[in-house]
Amino acid sequence: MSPATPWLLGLGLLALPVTAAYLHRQRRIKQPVSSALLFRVIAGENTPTKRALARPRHLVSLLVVLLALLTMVAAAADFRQDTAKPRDWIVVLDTSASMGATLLGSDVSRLDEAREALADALSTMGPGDRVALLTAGEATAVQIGLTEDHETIVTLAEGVTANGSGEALPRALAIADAMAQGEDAEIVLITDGVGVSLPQMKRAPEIVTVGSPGPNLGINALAVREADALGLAEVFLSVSSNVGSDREVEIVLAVDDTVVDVLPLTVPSRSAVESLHRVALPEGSRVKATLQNHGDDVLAVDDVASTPRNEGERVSVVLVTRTRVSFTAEALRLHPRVDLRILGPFDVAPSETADLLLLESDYRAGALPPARAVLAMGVDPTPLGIEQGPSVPAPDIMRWSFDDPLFRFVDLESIELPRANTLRMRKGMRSLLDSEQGPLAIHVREPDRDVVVFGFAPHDSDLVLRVGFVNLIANAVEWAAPAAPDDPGAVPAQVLPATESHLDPVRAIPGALQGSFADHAAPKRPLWRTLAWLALALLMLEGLLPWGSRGWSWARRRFRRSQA
Amino acid sequence: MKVDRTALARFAELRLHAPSVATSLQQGDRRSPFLGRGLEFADYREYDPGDDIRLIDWNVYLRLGQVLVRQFNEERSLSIKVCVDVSGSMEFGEPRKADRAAEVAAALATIALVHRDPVALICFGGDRPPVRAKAVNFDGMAELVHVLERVEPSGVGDAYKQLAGQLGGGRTDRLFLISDLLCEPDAREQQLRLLAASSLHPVLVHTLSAQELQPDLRDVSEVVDAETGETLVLRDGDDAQDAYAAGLQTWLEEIEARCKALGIRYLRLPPEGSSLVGFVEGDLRRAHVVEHVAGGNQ
Repeated sequence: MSPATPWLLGLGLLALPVTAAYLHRQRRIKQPVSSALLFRVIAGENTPTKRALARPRHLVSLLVVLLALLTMVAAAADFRQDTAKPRDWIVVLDTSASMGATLLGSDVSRLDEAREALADALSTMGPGDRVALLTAGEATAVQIGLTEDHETIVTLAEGVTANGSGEALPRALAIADAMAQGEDAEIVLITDGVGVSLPQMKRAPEIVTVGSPGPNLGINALAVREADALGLAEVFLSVSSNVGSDREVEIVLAVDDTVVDVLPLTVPSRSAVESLHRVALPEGSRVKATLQNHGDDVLAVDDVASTPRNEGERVSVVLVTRTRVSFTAEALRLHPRVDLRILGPFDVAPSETADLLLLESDYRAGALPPARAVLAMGVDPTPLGIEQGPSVPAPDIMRWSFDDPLFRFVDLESIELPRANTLRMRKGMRSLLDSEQGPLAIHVREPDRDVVVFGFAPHDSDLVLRVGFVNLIANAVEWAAPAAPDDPGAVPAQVLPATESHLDPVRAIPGALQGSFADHAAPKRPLWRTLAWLALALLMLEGLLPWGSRGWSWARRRFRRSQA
Repeated sequence: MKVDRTALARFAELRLHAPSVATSLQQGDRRSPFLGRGLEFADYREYDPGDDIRLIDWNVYLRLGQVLVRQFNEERSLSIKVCVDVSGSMEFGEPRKADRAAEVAAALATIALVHRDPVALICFGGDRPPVRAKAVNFDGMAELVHVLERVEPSGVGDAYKQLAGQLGGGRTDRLFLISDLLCEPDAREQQLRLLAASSLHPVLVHTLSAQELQPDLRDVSEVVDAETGETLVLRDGDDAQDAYAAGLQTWLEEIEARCKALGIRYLRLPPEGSSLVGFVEGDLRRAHVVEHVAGGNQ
């Protein structure tokens, strides 16, 4: 509001006559004195008409009055601003899963607190204030655009639920930033601050934080992978905790609501634990993990996680071997997703490209059958472009890449290996298995295929008698398996990320403001009212000055007499 | 009038200074010109029939054969009179001049009565008959204060006539006049002469308010005399304030000079806002009106 508004300007211009009146006062007081004796020396004949200029001490009084006048103008200007100027509020309500956390021992969630803060602020807004409501949980939703119907805002806020990871919040803020037009528009983010990061915005949002810290444990990762041809599956779990002590918990695993196992876990304080389990899973399309027996917990939604069971695509495997009853052939036959074709060294190769070519014997019928992945074990690697080194009797295996997917759950330590051929490394090759004499297994990535060559045949050793061999073959199948196409009808994994389980509210977010929306929720005295009181106090102060208004002086004298 | 009783105890260590012998009839502890019973030997005289034979100096009689009686210096008290002006003009000032005057009178009475100097209090000058009260020892102090508190300044009367009627023809050792002397020059002269004639050591405590010493005449067009109702139109001009100050100074100097000529000790009571203790222990002590019981200047 500009002070140039006519009536405000008029109020301000009152300073001129007030100043003139103070500087130019009429002598008109008839004053009783103790004796006229002393005044005879200055007695005149006529009533004086001359005006007397005020003394400097009256200037103090004048300054106080002018200050009071100025304060009144400021109060009037703020009153206009306070009452006449509506504002736009674009409210972004965080409805991520962490907003479902309740107060310990209570059913009141953070989302309930947010609704209450919103309703309180709305109740103190003027009828001209417009409010828009956006929610950001599993997805961004513009619940309603700018409206003066505050009741609808409250009703819409009552209908939202807390779910999702909060990844939609930056998008909601970006939309709010686009909606905020004009100087009087404000973006308000009502959130618990958990996992919140602000995008680049033209207008900094004002943050209203809700919630209070509470104990929570949650499942933040669940992944299932078929482990081998024996029906075992690998279940990867991550459980986090913000509790100040270690907790013993149990994870109940179920496939299509059929409980298959209960996994005990120890979750360290204020940390997370990751574990990998091999579980025999029956047929089913969805795996569900439920956290149990973990004491106080303020957020229930992260205690359950589920994920679709990805059994993968079928894998076409061509095995070149001298015998059809080898350990390798049996392992491949047991694998539920393998389409196996066995070739002898002199059989004609099929024309179609296989997913995996497994060479257990040299192929002598011509060019190697086409395949996207080749695993050669104990054969001459020259057709694959790899040179063979000297043959080594009983080599000691010094290292193998146990992080490589090919060696998952495969233990090569202390296997009985009577003889092996070392391989010569060239540029672009990676050694998977080393002995003192040189590499015994090499991986090379070619433009159209991946090749892994072993310098020994497993059936020449005792590896085939160990469970690691079955795992090695299963790993090779998974390694060569084509990528599964996306299933549009599949229900995606429902696992809450760790950021949503760490429930300590964040009071200050970089880039956000603490502003007047929160003040609406806690109403305060408007500035104009304070200024008006100040103006009144200044006027009373002027009256109480020793040289103030005559009326006050008379009142003071009368009061003193009554006291006497 | 108002008297702050709590401040009076502070003056108990002072006593009135006696520039000459005490002439009161009341026995006290001050030297007097009278011979009679006492502790300090003064002279011999011949025995007259009727004299107390216990006063005969038998040693002189045996040695010389003459019957002589011993005479002693009598110890008397100072006779004090305190006259307080209660005319209407004493009602001005904040606090009022009358209240200040009452406090000075109470302080003087306290100083006197603590040392058994009898005090007579006279309130005069108002439109009511003068009030007189007397106390011969400290038991009468409450009565004096009560009288001071009961009397209120109002109107104007014939101050000289009232004062002359109360003072009578006798002379007083110490006579205090507490007044603003805001009266016509003739009346003022009569009062000063009466003051000088009624005591060997008169003291005038001149009481004026700050408003009278430095009045704010900026917005004042007329003044009205509170006692007589006389109205004066003030002169128009910026020099009126200076002219008033000059006239006031002349008036004060004239009174002071006249007091000096008549042998009256002139003291001006500081205007309101200054300490009464400072006036009593400072101005009155420097003027040798009061002194510390142990002597000294501090």
